[in-house]
Amino acid sequence: MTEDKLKQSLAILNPIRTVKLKDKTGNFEAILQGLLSDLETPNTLSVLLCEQIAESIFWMRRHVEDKELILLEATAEKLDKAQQIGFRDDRTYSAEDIKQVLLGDETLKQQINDKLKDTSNSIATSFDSCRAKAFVSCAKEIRIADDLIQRQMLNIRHLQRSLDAIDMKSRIIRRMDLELERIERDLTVLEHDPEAG
Amino acid sequence: MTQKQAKANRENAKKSTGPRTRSGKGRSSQNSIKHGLNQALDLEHDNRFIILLRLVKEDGYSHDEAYSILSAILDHRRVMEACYEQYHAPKEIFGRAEAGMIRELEGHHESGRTTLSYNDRLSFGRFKARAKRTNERLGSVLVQRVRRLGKLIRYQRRSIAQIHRATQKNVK
Repeated sequence: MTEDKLKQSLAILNPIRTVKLKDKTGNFEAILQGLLSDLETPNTLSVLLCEQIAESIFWMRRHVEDKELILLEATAEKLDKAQQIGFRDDRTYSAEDIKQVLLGDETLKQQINDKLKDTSNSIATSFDSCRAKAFVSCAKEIRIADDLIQRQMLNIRHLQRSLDAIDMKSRIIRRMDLELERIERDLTVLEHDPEAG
Repeated sequence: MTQKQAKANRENAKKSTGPRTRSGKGRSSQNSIKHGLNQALDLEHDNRFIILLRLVKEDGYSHDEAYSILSAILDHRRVMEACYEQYHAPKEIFGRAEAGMIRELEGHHESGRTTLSYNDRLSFGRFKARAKRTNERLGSVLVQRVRRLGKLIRYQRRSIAQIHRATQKNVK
């Protein structure tokens, strides 16, 4: 039943696709198909709105990832700065290393802390203080990322309401069509009623 | 650069009168456009809009209903496409070309093909330091993306509100 709905929706959507994302992960398609399979009465406008909702969900996830990555990169940068004595452009730690520490890699954390203590640089003396400094340094960008996430959430909410209204309209049109068909049928019956008159 | 060369450059620049052909003028008229989201939508010549309008009308909507809802959706598309472009725009780097030229000159100096004076090397060093500071301020590619997209939030707000208004007004 759901697969039939999905096929029906995709048949409407494919010739008129408006969202063209170069998404190699396939996330967008998965979200879109999930939404389309839940459509009760697919029509041009409802599938278009589903496409916009899927795009907003896709962007929201992307912004969440970006926000996390900004913080990880800023922490890695602060750690590098804290460990450097002279001028160097190469990076010792990557965002991936920082993620490992945050996921609970105590050995790496201890290693970083030991190196920071050895350097005796005044910028920061531990992983946690570097992370706190990174948070302060990229606070503005994190706030913008939060605004972007919030915007996508509001977009989804508004689009959902629009979809509800469109869906309701489709049902009303369908009901009216059926009503008209019934009236026409009744009329025909009346016209051809041999006993009438 | 000698005074004679500088004078010749100024004289040559006076002869330049900008683009002459129709296509050249068309191209240069787009130079200052950043995302074009403040321009009005040209729906009458948009094939996608014409096709969608026909399909939506076939679903039982009146011309006015279909027109207002679809124009709002296509305006939203324009905003989201601008977001996509801004997200994938290349990283902005200060002094990339100059840094290349400096590297080349320093290479020539090391190989003995040219000689750089003390003042030349001093100004190169100053420029490199300035470029490093500016690039640190510009931030990583991620930071630049987020900043660019942040500028488009208000356009998203506007386009979504239009869709919402059009659907709520026309469908009830």
